Amino acid sequence: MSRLPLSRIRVLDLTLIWAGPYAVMQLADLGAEIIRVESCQHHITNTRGFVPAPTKEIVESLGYLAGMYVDMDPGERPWNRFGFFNSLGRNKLSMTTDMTRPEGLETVLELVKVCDVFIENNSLGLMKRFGLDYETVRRINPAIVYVTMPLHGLDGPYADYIGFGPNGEAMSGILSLRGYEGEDVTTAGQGNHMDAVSGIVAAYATMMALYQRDRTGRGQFVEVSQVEHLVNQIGGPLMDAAMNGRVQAPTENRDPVRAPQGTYRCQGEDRWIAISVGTDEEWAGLCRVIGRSELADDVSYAGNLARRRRHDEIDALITGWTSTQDARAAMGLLQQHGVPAGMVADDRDALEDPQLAQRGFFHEMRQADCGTHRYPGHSYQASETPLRFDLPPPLLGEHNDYVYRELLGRDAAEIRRLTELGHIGDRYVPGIR
Amino acid sequence: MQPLAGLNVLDLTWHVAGPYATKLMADYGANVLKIERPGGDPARRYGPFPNDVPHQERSGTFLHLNTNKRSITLNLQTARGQDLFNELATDADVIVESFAPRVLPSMGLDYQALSRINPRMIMCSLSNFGQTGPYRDWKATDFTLHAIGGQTVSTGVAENQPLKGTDHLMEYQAGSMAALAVMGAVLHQHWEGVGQQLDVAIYEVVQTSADRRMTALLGYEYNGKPSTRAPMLPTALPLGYFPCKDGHACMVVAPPARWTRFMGLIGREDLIDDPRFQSPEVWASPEIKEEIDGMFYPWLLDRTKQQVMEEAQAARIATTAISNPLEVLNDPHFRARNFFRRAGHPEAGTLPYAGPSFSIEGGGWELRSTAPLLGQHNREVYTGRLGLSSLELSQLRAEEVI
Repeated sequence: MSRLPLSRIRVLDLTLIWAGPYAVMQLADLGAEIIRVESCQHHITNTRGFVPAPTKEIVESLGYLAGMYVDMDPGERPWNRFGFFNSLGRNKLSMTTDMTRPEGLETVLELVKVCDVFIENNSLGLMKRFGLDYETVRRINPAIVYVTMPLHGLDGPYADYIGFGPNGEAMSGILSLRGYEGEDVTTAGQGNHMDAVSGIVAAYATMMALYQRDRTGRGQFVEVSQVEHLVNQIGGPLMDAAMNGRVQAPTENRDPVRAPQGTYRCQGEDRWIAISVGTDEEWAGLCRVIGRSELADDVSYAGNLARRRRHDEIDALITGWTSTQDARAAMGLLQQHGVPAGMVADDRDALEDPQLAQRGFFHEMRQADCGTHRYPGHSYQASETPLRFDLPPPLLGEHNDYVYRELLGRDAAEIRRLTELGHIGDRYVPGIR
Repeated sequence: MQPLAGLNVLDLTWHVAGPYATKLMADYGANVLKIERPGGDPARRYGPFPNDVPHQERSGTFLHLNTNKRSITLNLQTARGQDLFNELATDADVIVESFAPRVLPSMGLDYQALSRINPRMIMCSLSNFGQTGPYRDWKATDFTLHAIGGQTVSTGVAENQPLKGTDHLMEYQAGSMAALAVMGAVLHQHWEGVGQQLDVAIYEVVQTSADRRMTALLGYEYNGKPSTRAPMLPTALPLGYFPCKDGHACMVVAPPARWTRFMGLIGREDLIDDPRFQSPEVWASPEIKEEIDGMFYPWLLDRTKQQVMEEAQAARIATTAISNPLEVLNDPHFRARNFFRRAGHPEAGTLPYAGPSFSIEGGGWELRSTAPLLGQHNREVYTGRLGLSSLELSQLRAEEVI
């Protein structure tokens, strides 16, 4: 195997929650060495847990995301058993230091000298308060690629506004385009599309800046405006607003052109299949599968326009068939007849999916505090530089020894001193929230 | 110099995902040559159109996705067309394609063949399910991929059917991922001088999405708790969408704001230290939620969504007015940042174009040109780059190769 694209790159990672760690994970998969800066004194919510050390009762009361501990048991060191963090943790190293104290800040600034990328997605201004703004960091390492991911960009009236994924969807217009027929947005369900695509585009931008650094010989400053990237993802509705002054409304599960389209109930509890027909050929396939071949030749169902007029009636026909079917089997049958169909898959379905299995999607891995589990894998495959999956999600402070001794060259006495001061550690101090 | 200046990209993609990937390259300086089948990218027929009158040069979706690119037409079904493509491929740094997996190999234009002509070339294949596996040749749309990828089951509310996402978002996301994959390979090409093949499956992009999906998958593996359409955190502290005087606002009361800032916001400082309300267990109680909603909703309904956002943000609570695309176009924040750039197009007129997703050293993104007309650069490319004569060009036209 040839070396990975980023095997010469070291990343100083000050990211939190979803978007930043997801961006860093992309760089890690490509071979970068990731130094994740954590702290035993400051717990960042929704990163290594909603709170640092929840009781079993609290874990039970939390939803499926905030409560995702191994076996629903927070264990001795809950922060190492949290699925939220661990799903993004592969291929990263973790060190601890308390940046709010001088020795901690000094450690981070020392790390700046030996890193190629500095990346963070904290609220605007926090890095400056720590003394880690671009001007300072660049003075110490002029070749650094400094990546910041402000929600609304670095300036403008909302620059200081804080928010999470759902806030970004609200601001960008994306949320206004999702929802049930005849209902307002309160039932549209939570979305966090921003966290995913911000992570992707931030990793893309980081690599582009590394390319630019290589060609110009200078460090680079990267501003990823998360909401503005989201705005780029509703080109059609924005153009409709600009061209025609029209505000598009949510279409529930229907398509503006294709018909019929919907989610249809299958056998079992909360089991559904998504079907989308856009041509007469696909329509004929659907008619054959549901045992109504005669409708394929009926001109009153020819073309999307005609089928849209009879959408409710067609939906009832489809449900009449799907409700007696197993979702996965129905999907296979419809695909055999050339009909775009996808079961409304849940987590178990993914773990049992033959496509993902054959593509080697899941990776079994042992992490000391979690045991052995299957981890969801990569988003793409690369023929010459297969993405790595060799380090399990790091325990808090797991790589302190490597970072302090080897990277920073601190001697035993200094390491002892920093351990006594609480910078070096592997657990959150008791009582913090 | 734009970051990707000098990078030659051959673009064999259409619709949304692939064109978004190459837009992310073209907008940052890559030289993207869009190769359209005779008749053009189907997105040219997708709309929206001005006054709803269809026109192949006025589709809003196409105009948005194809900024800064050049367009030639080429019929790859013909032997001559395949030869011309091979010539173009000799100095391509990157080829991005979104054909169904069996199509390019059937024309002798797969990675193996093309890499013999140009070994340092990167070929990114973007497809629904990937180049291998039992679903390889299955049909799919953004809607069905959202479903089978595991997103639909947790979108909407439990009492109702599972809900699709905003149209095309899975395609946009996969396009972003393809751009990322290409950029990694470009660095490798730059440093090591070798090319490679990239296999991006929208299905796997959805399964690995950070927005709950990959996280929920691991959560299920850890403890068997499945993804649901239940609220993420059923609690008395607001997390969701709330009605205001003129619309809705999204509010996420998260630590460290929590109780103190929330009570301060709605003018109930007197309750901040009330022992009845001090723990997550209490906030999860339906009775407490009802009691708190009884104070919160009247406060909300007294204010516009913009006021709710401004007051809550002043109290450092993550709150955002929920905007529709028309409001986005006119929002003071995007105006102040000069985010939308007005630019002219010979057939579509002057329109606002969404600006940079990111900037490098304060720039990097440029709107050098609006979307190309179908085949606008045929002459430039075929007579210039490939050195054909005008006569040969008209023959190609007559033979419907271009």
